[in-house]
Amino acid sequence: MMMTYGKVAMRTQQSRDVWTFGRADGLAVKVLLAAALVLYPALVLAPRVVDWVLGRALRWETVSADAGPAVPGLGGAGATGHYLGWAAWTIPHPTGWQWFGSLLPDLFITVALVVGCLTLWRLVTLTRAGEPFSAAGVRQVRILSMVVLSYAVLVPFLRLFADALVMTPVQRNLEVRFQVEVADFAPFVIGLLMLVGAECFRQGLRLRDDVDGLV
Amino acid sequence: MPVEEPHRVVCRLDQLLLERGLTLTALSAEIGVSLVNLSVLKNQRARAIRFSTLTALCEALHCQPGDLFVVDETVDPDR
Repeated sequence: MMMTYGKVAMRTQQSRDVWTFGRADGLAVKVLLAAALVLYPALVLAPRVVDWVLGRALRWETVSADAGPAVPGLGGAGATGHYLGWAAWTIPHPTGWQWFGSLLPDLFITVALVVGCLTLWRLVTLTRAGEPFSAAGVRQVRILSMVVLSYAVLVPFLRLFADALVMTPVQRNLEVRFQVEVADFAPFVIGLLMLVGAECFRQGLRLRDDVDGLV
Repeated sequence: MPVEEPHRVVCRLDQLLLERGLTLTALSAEIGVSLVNLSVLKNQRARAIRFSTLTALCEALHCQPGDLFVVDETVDPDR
């Protein structure tokens, strides 16, 4: 009976350990944040900057108003299909403004990523120290929600502006399309949820103040 | 006095310990309240006390809550 109790106690301890945000979990989160901070600029921003510096052609994609070619092989029961209209442009001698326009959305995303990751880093540190419900914790959650909301609101417009900057010199009968998909609303919803979370943190701070000095 | 104003409750734990010849460490061991919390109480830094803690203190010190806590009008509430 003592052996069974011991095994149950050990299993309970192990299952509690799985759900505890331990030192290893904190370290893993920090490594992932650092990786995101390094990888996004390195993989997305840096190649474009290098192309600019080396005077290479600018590659840019736009949404095309025209549908693409028909998809072969379909047609059962009268169904037809065509490829969606995306145009991939190669601009051999882009101006400085075109390069700047092409970098604008990714520059903003990089800045948002840096601010977001640093804020999340501070929040994880506070939580590990047992102080999530503090004025600093509330501030970090609010900043994070603002970063996500600004991404949701600004990035589509930045892409629109970038399209105009890049394509105006090269496309006859310029048509800039503002395309918003359902998935684009996800960051907005997430940002709003985080604002609600920040309010929960603020209430938690108030409750914590209530028991501060309680013996 | 409105509840938002600072309090004037004074804890007489140090006097009671002296009268009964007890140390804070011994009291902590007897009632199971941490030394840190008892020190907070003794140094007038406590802002609230659980009834369970109050009961344990009164039983250990053989006193009533009114012996342990008094409202002192002369105390500066902003201490």
